[in-house]
Amino acid sequence: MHALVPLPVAVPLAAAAILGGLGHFLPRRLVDGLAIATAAAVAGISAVLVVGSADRPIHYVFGGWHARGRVVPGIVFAVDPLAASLAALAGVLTLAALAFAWHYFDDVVPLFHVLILCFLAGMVGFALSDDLFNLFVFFELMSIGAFSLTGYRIDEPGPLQGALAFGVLNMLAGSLLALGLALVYGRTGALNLADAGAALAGRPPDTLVVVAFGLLCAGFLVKAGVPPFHFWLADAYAAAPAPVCVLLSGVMSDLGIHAIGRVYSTGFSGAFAGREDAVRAILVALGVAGALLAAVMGFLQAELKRMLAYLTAS
Amino acid sequence: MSVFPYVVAVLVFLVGIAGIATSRHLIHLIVCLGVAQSGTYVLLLAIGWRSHGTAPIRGSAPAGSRQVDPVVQALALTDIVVGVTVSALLLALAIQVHRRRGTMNPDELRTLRG
Repeated sequence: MHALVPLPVAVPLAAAAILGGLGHFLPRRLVDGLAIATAAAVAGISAVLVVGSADRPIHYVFGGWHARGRVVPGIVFAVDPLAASLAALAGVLTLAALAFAWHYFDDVVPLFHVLILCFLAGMVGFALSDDLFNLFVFFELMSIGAFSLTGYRIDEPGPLQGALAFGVLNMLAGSLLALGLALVYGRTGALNLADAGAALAGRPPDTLVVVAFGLLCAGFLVKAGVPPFHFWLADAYAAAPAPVCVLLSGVMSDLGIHAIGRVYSTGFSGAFAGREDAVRAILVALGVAGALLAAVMGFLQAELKRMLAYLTAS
Repeated sequence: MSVFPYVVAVLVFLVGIAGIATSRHLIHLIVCLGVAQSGTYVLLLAIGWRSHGTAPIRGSAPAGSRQVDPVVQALALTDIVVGVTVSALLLALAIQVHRRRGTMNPDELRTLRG
């Protein structure tokens, strides 16, 4: 069970590398089939992880760099049923997207499959990671895959503009994440969420901790598409080809919310122990206001994909 | 402890964001994104600084001397690599915009409205 944890990230990356190198020499259906098999493998392995982590979360330390004393030098993947099911969902939706792309694109070079597999690897890593900087790296990998796929149809004007807006805003969100994690590292000396949580617990949160948490949340909320951080959503969803839209709306936004939940519960819940109500109130208010705004905007849309975007934001 | 590096980091980040918001040329916009990301590198490196610390290279400094934190330097390097990748992709998109729409002004790209 332990050995299975890195596979949902490693397998799509390896398949993407193989398809990138050899894709032009292989018949198109073989490329399609390989990509679909990879997505199915990710979904299957993640489903096994869901079952395997049901009673106790699995902590997988990359490279065997186990903790010595208080220092955890390695990067940890924490697999609990929620994270593993999000990874499985990403695998299933990628499978659906690739199956749809089988006939959707008349002529597609293997680049599309490479990008989808990189996107899948980024999403799975983002769901499973328990290390702040690892979250940042997978956030960027996911974003790069996503906006490259959004701008896939470069011969049409809409996707170009949507992809540019998507790329710039998500990269800014990544910078917010980097600022937040720099502050957390400066305060606790730990990038591992569990370590940071232990170091922050027990003391009332001062401005630095609150600002760091706020920056991290802002970065994740942009990814989740929650208003007021949703302005890139409509353009991006309208611009993306349909198979990619499936992935963006189905799982990427949910991953943003999941990341907030994980960062809060593992990293900051000790620090904010007495003030849970305040944090919850802020997040609920943001959620309700955002849902209402997005629902109203969605009602006013004339185009289906933009309506879907506002539905996702809601 | 001097706050100067932190002030610089925040200022650089804000200058980058202001540049993105007011940009009228796509290349300028993408470079401003790079500037904003540079603000995060400065913050990372400032956090790693130890007063009177030397470069964190084993063997080149006498044993027991203070060294600055190498972890944040590794983080900054990773960050830079990500920034380069993103800039390359966005610039490729900008070239396509220029080739197909003939304009590099983000305000003139108005296809998506709703």
